[in-house]
Amino acid sequence: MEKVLEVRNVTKYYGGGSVVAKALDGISLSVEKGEFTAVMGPSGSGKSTLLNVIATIDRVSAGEILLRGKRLTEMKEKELSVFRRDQLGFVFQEYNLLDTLTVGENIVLPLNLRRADYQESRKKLEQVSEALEVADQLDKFPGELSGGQRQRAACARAIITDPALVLADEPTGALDSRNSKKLMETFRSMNRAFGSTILMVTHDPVVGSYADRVLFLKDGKVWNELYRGDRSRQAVYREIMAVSAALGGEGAFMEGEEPLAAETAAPMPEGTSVCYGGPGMEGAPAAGEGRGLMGKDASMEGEVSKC
Amino acid sequence: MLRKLAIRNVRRQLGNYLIYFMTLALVTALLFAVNNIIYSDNLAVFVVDEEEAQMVLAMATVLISAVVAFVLSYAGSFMLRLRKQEFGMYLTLGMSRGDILKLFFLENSVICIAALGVGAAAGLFFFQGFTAVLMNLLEIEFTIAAYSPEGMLRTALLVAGVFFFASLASAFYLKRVSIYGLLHGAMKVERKVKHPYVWFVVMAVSLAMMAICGLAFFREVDAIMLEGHRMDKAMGLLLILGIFLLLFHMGLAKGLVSVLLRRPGLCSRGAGTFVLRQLSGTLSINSLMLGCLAFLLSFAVIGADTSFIAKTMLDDMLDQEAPYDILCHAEKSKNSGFLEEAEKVAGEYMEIRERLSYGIYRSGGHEFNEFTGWYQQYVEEGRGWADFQDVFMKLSDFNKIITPLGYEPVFLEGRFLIVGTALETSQLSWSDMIFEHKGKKYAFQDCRTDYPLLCYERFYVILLDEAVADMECHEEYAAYRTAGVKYDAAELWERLHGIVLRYRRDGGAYNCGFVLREYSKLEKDESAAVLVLGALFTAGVFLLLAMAILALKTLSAMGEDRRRYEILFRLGLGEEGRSRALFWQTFSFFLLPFAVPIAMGIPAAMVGQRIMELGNMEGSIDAMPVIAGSVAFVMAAVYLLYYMAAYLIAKRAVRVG
Repeated sequence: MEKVLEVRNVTKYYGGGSVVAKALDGISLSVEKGEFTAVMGPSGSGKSTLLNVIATIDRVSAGEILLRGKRLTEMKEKELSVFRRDQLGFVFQEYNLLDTLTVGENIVLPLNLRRADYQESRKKLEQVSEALEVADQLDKFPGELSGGQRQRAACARAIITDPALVLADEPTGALDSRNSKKLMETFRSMNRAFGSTILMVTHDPVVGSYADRVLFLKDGKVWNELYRGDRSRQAVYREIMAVSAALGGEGAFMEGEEPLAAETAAPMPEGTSVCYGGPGMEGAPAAGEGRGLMGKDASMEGEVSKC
Repeated sequence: MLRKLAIRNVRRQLGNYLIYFMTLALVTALLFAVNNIIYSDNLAVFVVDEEEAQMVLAMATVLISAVVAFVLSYAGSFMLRLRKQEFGMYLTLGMSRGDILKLFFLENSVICIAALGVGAAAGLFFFQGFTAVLMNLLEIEFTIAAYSPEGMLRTALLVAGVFFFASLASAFYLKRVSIYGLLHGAMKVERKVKHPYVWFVVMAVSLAMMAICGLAFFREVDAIMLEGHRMDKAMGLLLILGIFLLLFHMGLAKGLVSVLLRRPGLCSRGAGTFVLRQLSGTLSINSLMLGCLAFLLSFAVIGADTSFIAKTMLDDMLDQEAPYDILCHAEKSKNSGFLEEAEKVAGEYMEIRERLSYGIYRSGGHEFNEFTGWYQQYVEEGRGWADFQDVFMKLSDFNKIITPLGYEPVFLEGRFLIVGTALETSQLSWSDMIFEHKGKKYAFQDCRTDYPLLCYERFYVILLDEAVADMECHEEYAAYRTAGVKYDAAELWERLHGIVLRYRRDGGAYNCGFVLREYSKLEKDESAAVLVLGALFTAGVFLLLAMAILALKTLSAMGEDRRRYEILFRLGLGEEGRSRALFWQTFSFFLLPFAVPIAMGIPAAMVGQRIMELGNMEGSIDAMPVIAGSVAFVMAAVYLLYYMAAYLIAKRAVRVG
């Protein structure tokens, strides 16, 4: 499979002088084409910083990031803007739709910024708005939509340019559980129908359970990684909970986590295991290869435990 | 505690308050300068009618202060809007509305006192600058003018009044607005413009009506100059033009952008849609304000142009109306002693170098007058003939008095020349007229209205000397050329006027009179000075206010715009693209109420040229575009200064990364 994103030994410091905080600590990971990856971790683990440096909104202190083989860390500001415009799609917690533009204008804005042909833009707008069920909202302003509708519009905007990578930062953060579920189904359909490669930061295990792969960050490093394989979402959810417990030392460490829904509250199935590990996940299976939980590799520091 | 917070807030908000402060300080400086001129002891020396000049300028300052108060209260609302979340937070934290009002009042007081201080300091220089302009207009040697305590007090009172009114409006807003409105005012759902095509049509119709009014005004100028129409119709046309100017800008603000937005294929590429949407919201909400600003700016442009055109015209009119240093006239039969007495008195003030005497003759007939419309009108009204006897001048006399003024001598070959002092004379068809006198026939040679005023009749006929020889000399004229030394023209005028009154008492009205060039010049210079000073002051204040409103309005929205530009950044619009979008967004907003007013300089110059052409002031025709261009240049420079300041602050406000 083609590697869309490669993060190599990236370090990010904030502050200066005697007050320096290390947000990313030599992190490495890769995302393959068509993969739906969730990044989870406690507050201050570096997940938002990771997303920001991949989004080129922030600069790395060390290491390199490659997207489709291009080194983002070497690009200049102007190139980065073009890169963001052409290669990335964004979905944010606060929707980040422009309140002065109609929903349709918001969705088609990335194509306009590319100076795409008007007729093609219209065609593409129809296509994505139909797929994401916002076609009848195109002439409304964002303020006239519900949170879920706004976020679907934001998703439509994120994929309208067929970006190499869609970055989502806590996309369900401002939604209730029903809309969160609907949005995650939208993400899955984006992933399946449009083949979008998605990298999503979330603190919500339910939301993370929709992903093909879940990366756990702690102290600026990849601490653990889960693959969905053929298993059900409930199963993945339980694994996430287990890892979370191990990561934070409690059953549910994530801030703002919602109560378990009945469908996700089932006990973890037999054979589920959690991999405790530090950086270096090179041996991990690709999404959809059906290996279930990732195998233990040489770099892992802890042992595989049975929950 | 509130005082401390107020001072800290002002320091923290210095960037945001900069334009508000700059405007208040500049307006204060202008008021300071004009008030000092009004109450300056020097003004008594400058002008012939001090009281009238004082009254005109004092009224102008009060009126303009009222406009300033109104506009600054409007500007204050932008400052509130800029900080409404902060005030909302104070309310949420438990501060009372009274406390917030006190806080805002204290903050404004700090700014007002600082602006008064800075404005007064700048006003010291403005005053000397204005005085220099005034002295230049009056052609007096520049001396440092003394400041007037009365003028300073009046400035402080006017600024305090302006500040009080502006604070009152802000207090009213703060008293009424809800906490939710303060905290979430930015999240209002944008309302689409209703019936944008109707507004588009309003814009197009208004533009057409403005053009029609302009043309009608242009023709009315002709009618005023040539047919002696009154100014009422022209003023009415200007009023209609002003109304359509307002409607045009409202239509433009509400219609054009909305119509463009309905044609996304035309301008959606790049950040086009974003810019149009940004403009659409701002323009439609502020369409009336933009129309009013356009009106104020047009007033400023036309006022400044008119004052300079009038100044040029007054300068030229002096040569027309008072070509000689002194020109005296008296009816020969009644006041022949007047000329000698006047000459004797004038000789006490100046060295008379040359006296040119000439006479005005009457044939007793009225053949020439019969050609005129005013004659017919008077006949219909049953008035007598005496006022309409034809008036003649010898060719030799005429050449004697026009050649020293630089005119070519006239040659008549058995023909007659009509010299009109009223423009309508040239509109009459004299060409068919044959004048018969003593068995000789004289054909029409020419009708000229471009000679200076040498005879106080509507028109007179120049004939060969032998043809006039046997006519009765009705009036004697004496034109004097002097050594050109400065003298007390007002005093001489008073003395000559006294003599005239004495002679008129004895001999009847209008039978003698005089024109004193230096006194006419004083009168015209005074009119020009008051006109130019008043117009410059008004134009300066209106321009400052308009620019301040536009700048503050732009900046007050930047808090909300920052988030929008950040989204554009994330969507991949580079810094250059964002700067371009910001430029178009702000520049279009600034340009909208400015473009038409600045273009008003073109018709103003054309009207000025036409007036000069009709008024036989051809020498000044070329000066009209220069005047209009200079006014436009200065206004554009101030505009650019404000725009650049607003743009750079806005750019800093929306900078990402």
